[in-house]
Amino acid sequence: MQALIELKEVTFGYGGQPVLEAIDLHLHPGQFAALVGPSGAGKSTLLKLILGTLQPQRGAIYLDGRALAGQSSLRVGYVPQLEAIDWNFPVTVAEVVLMGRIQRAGLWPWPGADDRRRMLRVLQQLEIDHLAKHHIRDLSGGQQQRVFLARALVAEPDLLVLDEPTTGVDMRTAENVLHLLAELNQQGMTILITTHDLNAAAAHVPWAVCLNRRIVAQGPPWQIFTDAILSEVYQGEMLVIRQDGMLFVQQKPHGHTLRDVLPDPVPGHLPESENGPLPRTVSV
Amino acid sequence: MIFYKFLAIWLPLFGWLLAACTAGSSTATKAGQLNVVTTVSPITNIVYNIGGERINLSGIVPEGVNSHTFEPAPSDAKKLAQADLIFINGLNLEEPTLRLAEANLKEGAEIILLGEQTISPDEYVYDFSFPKEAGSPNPHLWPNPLYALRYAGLVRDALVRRDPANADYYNANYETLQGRIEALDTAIQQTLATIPEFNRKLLTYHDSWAYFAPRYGMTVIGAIQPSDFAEPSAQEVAALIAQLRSEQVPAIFGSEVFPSPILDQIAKEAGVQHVDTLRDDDLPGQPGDPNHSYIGLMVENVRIMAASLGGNPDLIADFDTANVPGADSAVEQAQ
Amino acid sequence: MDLFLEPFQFEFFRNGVLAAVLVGGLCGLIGVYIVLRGMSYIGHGLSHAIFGGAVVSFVMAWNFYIGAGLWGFLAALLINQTVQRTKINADAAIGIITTASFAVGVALISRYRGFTRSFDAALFGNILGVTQQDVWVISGVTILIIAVIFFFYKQLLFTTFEAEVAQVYGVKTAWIETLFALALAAALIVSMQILGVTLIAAALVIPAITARLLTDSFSRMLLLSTVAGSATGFLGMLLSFYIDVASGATIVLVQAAIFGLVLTITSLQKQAARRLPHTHL
Repeated sequence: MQALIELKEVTFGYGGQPVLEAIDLHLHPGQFAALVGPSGAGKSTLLKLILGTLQPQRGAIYLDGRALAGQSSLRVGYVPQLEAIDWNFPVTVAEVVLMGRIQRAGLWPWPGADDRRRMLRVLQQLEIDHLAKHHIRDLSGGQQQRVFLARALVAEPDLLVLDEPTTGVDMRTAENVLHLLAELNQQGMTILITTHDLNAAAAHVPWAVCLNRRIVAQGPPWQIFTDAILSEVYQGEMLVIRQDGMLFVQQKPHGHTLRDVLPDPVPGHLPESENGPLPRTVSV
Repeated sequence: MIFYKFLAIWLPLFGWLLAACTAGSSTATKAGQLNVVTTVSPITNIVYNIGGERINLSGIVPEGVNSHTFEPAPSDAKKLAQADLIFINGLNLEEPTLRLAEANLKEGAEIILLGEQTISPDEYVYDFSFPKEAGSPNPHLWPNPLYALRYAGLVRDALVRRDPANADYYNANYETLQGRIEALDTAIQQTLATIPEFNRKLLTYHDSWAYFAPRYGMTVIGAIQPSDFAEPSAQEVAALIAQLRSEQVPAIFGSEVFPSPILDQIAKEAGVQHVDTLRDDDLPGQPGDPNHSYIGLMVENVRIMAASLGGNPDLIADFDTANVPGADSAVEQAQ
Repeated sequence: MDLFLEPFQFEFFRNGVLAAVLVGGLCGLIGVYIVLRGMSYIGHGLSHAIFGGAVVSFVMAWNFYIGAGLWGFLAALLINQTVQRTKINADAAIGIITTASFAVGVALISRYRGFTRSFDAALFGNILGVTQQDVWVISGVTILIIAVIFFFYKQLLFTTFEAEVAQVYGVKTAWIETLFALALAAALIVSMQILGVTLIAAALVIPAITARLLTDSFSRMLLLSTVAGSATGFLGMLLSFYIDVASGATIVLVQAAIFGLVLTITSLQKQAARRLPHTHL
């Protein structure tokens, strides 16, 4: 199957410092992948290269078989980080979502009937149609996430790219977002996200790409999230626990025990649990 | 004012004393000529008509520039510092220049304030652009030929005193000039008399005709420029338009020195003609031309007035305007 | 009433008022984009740059609009390129370009003895001296800019909101930003006579901020800002005539007063809403 995105030996750096080296990556249609890695690993840079806002210094990028130098026939729906958004900007949910139709926009400032119809459909699909006239700051984190996702979807993209969709929202919202993406993926959408949240990625995303300037490993999280691989990616000791069919990742704290962190209990007042007093120390 | 009177009395005395003490080697400079500096071109020209090529003459206010707000440049300071005689109109016309001259005066040099020595305070005219409250009278004396002649006399006196070797030459020039100016005066009277009485009204941008008008039966009905030399306010413009509509003059007069878009607008709305060719300190023609003279200036102005106000300009059109000592191409007037 | 209508019998006043209404509205319109992008310093700097061009144009006896226009467009493009390419030192670069240009203007005025235009009028605006030609040019530019904002509404909105993302979505942001910079330059050039160099930046910003207080909708903000700009232009011009103060100053004063009023009212409304939590005000 022809890859939707293909990067060959892509290298990029800022002012002599390499940020990405010899990246070989391909995503096929219908794939749902997560780019993981520490800050500064090059995740955002890689996204920018794929989106076309940066040009590789070496290597080539192909979108849908065509070299990404001119216009690719591929439509990319991009959802930026929530932090980057100016929430005070005077726009409503509807106005933001309609921005996604810009490529097909006519001359007039107002949306056409077709645009409006598609917008409503996407809003309904994401269950935020009742918020159409609301200002974007009057929304919860999860709703905000869905507004910008709606904008990306309304562009009828071949590929969805989301930058840190799990950052800046609470755990439950992050879960919901990934759930939603998984649903979209099941309906056939190709999705690429970046994320800090290894556990969420492990739970919801079928393919992970571990990045730290180079691709350290890629594959299903269940397979590639190992102590060894993740420690190399994060340049620190990582602990992976598999339990009940779930996977948990935790960075080992350097040389601390919990004992060093908790205060000494007052004599006679041990912290209680329903099974009796808790042990004084918990060793890891 | 008192200070100027002081200067006006003592400087010539001092100069005379100095001349007496240093007779012989009186004031000859390297070129053997007096260095004379003046300000605006009509005054430069009057000085030229007396001194001719026997003085080193230079005028520092460029033609066509607003002399009231003119700020001399450092190069002007140099000229002033080397001058033996500095002729200034005075009556606050060239304040910055006067101050610069005083600051840079060399030993033995004199500043002559022509205006203050021509008329006495009770002859001062205060009017639209120069109201009494502002303290300064209208300084534009020279458009009145008889005052211009008095200027010429003062110039002659100074030159004769400082350069007695050429006294005969200066005196002779003065005699000739006197004859011409008196003839000019008559010609102007005759020409302006052909203007119908109800049209003998002058509305100008700048108030230059205050001493000219009364001599020839004309009335200055207004001047547009306010006393602080800023542009007129909107209300003042409105009032002028209203006034013009009721006064019914055939023309209003601007000058190339002052911005005319406002005058154009006023003329258009009042339904009068805007003539912007009158000059009061910018000689017609180029240096060397026969009409590049004070007399040429007045002839041209009167011709324009007569033509615009319904009189007969031909009566003065052929007046001889040539400079007494000949073409003035060597005279330096700042550009 | 007669007192109010009295100045309207004069053509120069009618021209001035018409020009002020157009210019006020135009600055209000463009000001929305300026304020939302935090670009107020560009409006300020560009107006100073254009001043230099205006003086050069006078000295060379070119038509003001052509001379100042060329210079202003060049400055706008230069600023635009600087912002687009070197995001870090944009402030410094723009500061240098614009103040140097202003200095050129001042230097020329000092050297060129024949400068007969009023410096004050250039800095603070003048109700007088708005010719028929000026009114035609202002009208033309206003129509043009409205057309640009109309036909590029969506692209401008997206670019103003999130320029980088807009680019990803296919908007040619470089072109849009250049187009906007030129529109801004054009608006500044025609507004210069009425508002003066020093106060133009205020007229760009105040109506837009006032509108922002009143609405959360982008399109309504555009409308309100334009209306506020026009209305204050009209009132300011009237005031300029009656109290004999430079028109740029009176217009901006009226704008500031209206802003203060709106701010007070909206603050009071918010306070009242807080005290009555279940009431929708």
